[in-house]
Amino acid sequence: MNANLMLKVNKISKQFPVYRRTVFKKKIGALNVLNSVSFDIVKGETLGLVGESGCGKTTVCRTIMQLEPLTAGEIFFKGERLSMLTKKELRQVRRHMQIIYQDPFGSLNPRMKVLDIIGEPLMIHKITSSKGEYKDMVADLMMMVGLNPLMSSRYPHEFSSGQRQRISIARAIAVKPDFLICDEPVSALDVSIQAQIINLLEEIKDKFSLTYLFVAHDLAVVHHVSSRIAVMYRGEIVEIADKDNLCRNPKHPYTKALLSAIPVPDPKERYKDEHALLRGENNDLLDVPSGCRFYPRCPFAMSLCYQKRPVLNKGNHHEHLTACHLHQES
Amino acid sequence: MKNRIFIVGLIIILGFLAIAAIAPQIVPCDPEAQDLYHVLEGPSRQHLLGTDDVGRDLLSRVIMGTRPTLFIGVTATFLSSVIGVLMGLIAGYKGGFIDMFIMRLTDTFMCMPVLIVVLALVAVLGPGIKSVIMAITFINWTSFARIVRGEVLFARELPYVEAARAMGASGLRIIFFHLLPNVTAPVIVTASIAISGNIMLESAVSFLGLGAQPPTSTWGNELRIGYSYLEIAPLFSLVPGALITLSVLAFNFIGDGLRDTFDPRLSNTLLNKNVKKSEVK
Amino acid sequence: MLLKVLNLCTYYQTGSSYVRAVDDISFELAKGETLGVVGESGCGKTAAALSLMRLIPSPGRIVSGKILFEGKDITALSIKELLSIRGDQIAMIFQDPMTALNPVLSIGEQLVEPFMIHRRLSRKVAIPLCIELLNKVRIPDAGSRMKSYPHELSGGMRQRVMIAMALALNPKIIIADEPTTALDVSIQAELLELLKNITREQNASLMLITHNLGIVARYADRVMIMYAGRIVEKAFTLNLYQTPLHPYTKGLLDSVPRLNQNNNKKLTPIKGQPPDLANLPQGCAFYERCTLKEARCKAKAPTLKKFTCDHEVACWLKEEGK
Repeated sequence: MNANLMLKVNKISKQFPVYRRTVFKKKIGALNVLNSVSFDIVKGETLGLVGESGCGKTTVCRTIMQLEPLTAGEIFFKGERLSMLTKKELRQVRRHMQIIYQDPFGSLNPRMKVLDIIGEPLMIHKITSSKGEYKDMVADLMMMVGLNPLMSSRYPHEFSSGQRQRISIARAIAVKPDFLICDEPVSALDVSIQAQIINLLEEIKDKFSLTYLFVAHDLAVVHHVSSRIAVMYRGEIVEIADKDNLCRNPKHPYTKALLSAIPVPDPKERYKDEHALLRGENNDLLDVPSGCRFYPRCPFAMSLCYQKRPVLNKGNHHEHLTACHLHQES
Repeated sequence: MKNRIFIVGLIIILGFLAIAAIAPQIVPCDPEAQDLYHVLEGPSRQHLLGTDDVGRDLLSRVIMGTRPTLFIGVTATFLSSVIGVLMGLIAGYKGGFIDMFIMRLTDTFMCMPVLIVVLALVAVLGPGIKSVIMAITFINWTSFARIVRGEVLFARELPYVEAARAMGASGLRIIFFHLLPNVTAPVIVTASIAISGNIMLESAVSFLGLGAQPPTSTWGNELRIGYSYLEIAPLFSLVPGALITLSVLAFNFIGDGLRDTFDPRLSNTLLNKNVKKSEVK
Repeated sequence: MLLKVLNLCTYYQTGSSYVRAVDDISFELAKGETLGVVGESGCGKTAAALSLMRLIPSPGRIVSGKILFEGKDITALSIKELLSIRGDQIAMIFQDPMTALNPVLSIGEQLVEPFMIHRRLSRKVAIPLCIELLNKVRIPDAGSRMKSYPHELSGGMRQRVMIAMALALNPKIIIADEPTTALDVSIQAELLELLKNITREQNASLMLITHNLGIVARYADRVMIMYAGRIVEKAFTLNLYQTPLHPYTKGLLDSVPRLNQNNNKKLTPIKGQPPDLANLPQGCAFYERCTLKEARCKAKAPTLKKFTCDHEVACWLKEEGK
């Protein structure tokens, strides 16, 4: 396996059983949250993962973090197959793999002081045993993320949402991980704060030579921070490419629609683009079309799309891959 | 308003505790000294509340009776909360079969008539303070287990608990660092109300003659003996009865007050709105 | 002028201190125009919108100022007169359609309500009107949807129902408070397009409250930017985006990542945090975060003044048309 590979996600699927509760639980179907998702992340890059709510992007993060068991497929982190690890080995791996959550209110324990929140990973992984060193390390971390170390004895509710997100970031980098998953890190923040956090994440990436999986629903944000972007729709990756290729030359109709739906903060652009607006919604998760999942909403749907599910072309990961019959090579 | 009630309850309980602590020092007479020439007397200068059926000073008896009554009520509640919290934490965190087993166990316990089970247990273990505590604990832990399990099921899904898991925290650490603090508030509220129930239970057991054995005085004991002389010496049963009522009421006041403080829905409305708004975003 | 707001102040009183949610704002809304109101959370934009209908929840209240709707001062109306305006002349669309719809009533029952209250129509007469409305907001299979309950609909569908409800009586003003924030981008675009077309059709005025500068750029005729309870800049959309005057507006525009931007260009965020409305500093509320601050900014808060004939700004550095 390529030594440069940080993470390899190989055809992972995740199903949630759906029960009908009468007197006895009866399984009436399964919700395919992830369907054969594959991607690689090379050391030092940032892979952006975009998709609308319910498309499975958070589940991808949770399965990578081993917080959720997989139904099928494998995840390799630095060449190690995560599902084969014992509990102890997994704890070691988790030191190198951290996650930042969307919700800056819920992801910090309200009853713990900031000192202990940021220091918790240091305790868990027994990085230091001396009390003084522990405090110094936390103070360093706080300075690194732009917080005043004097505030370390305060509780999370005394901070604004932007500052809380800084606390989450400090906690995530405390154990000097190699790989950081950012699950919608800025979508709960105000515009002016959002830019601060994005810049902070980029600074930290350079400083610790981190690798990111950056998940968000805002394509403009993802485009700004990522080197490559994967677009998800209903549990599948429909397009994955270099960010500029993807945004300037989108191939999948869903990517095109997403791009045109983003309101550009420039009134002159108002009448420029013909909005390739999508009709309908993807509300019923249980009712999955047998062919292409995007078929019911796609403006270019053909009969082939209804019959056969398009697959993402496999190949060198620097290519532009699309899961669409309009763009199949053969 | 609620806060005032809480303070009243607190003052009463602190008063009882203070009396219990220094009971031997403040009793006007020896509570066990009999005086068969003065039985079942009304209040007098020498015996402020009168005397009982063997001429002991009633005031001294009820003051001493504060000790076993409060001791049993508090200890039994403490023990049952410890057991209940542990069971609830395990059930809520582990889930699956263990959860089902513990919960069905609590169901079984809740079906049993409390007083009868306690009486049966005390009868088996032999009357006495220790058996009463054990019997009450045995039947009482289930309510704590249920409450804690419910809170844990909720707290387990909180993002910060998941964040701790992702960090590599062990199960024990998550249970004691992240989940336990979440359940303390409801446990304290339940406990303060449970104490009042347990005082009642203890009094009932003593009333039926299976509690602390004579010559130890408990309010329930006094009530039982005084009950037979209700017409001759009404204070003999009324005073311990009133004290039981007062302590039960006071613990309930405290429980209510605590619940109001811990319940976020009743706190400052404006603050609450702000929180909700930011949560939505 | 359809709506004219003069020196409106809405404060929340907590104990002895005031939270100045809306502090001395004045603006106008012409017939048929779309006014964008932009600001971050807690800047008072929602409080301003609620004040217009006197829906401020206690302990907040309108302290001073006038809201002239077709010449009548809303702040001085009796409850009865107020109720005849609410929902009939001025309608509101809320951010969260799940909580704004009653979960135990079917869509149909909630839709007929405005007709029955304001037009005194019978249920029988109102139902076909409601179905027509649902068709108008492009809800498929409108007739059977009338019997659905809110939880049976997706977020986008619920927001369509909210729009239908707001439009029911052809109001003159529609206030949309973050109407699409809870929705996905593709649905957001379709809904805003719909809202724009329908308001244009009915010649209604739209007050579009949002934190998204892109939405305003695409849909608003005029924009006002709010910060810490005050309006800091007010202009025609094109002017505002081309020549933003207030440092806060500039900062906001620089903070947004753009797709057409050159690669690897760093964002320039506004430093610091928004101020606490309960104890605002003296002088300009933006002082601490401003890059161009001067001594006089701290001394006295600037007021909204005309910079060019239709571009107003509240900044000491942009006084007297320089």
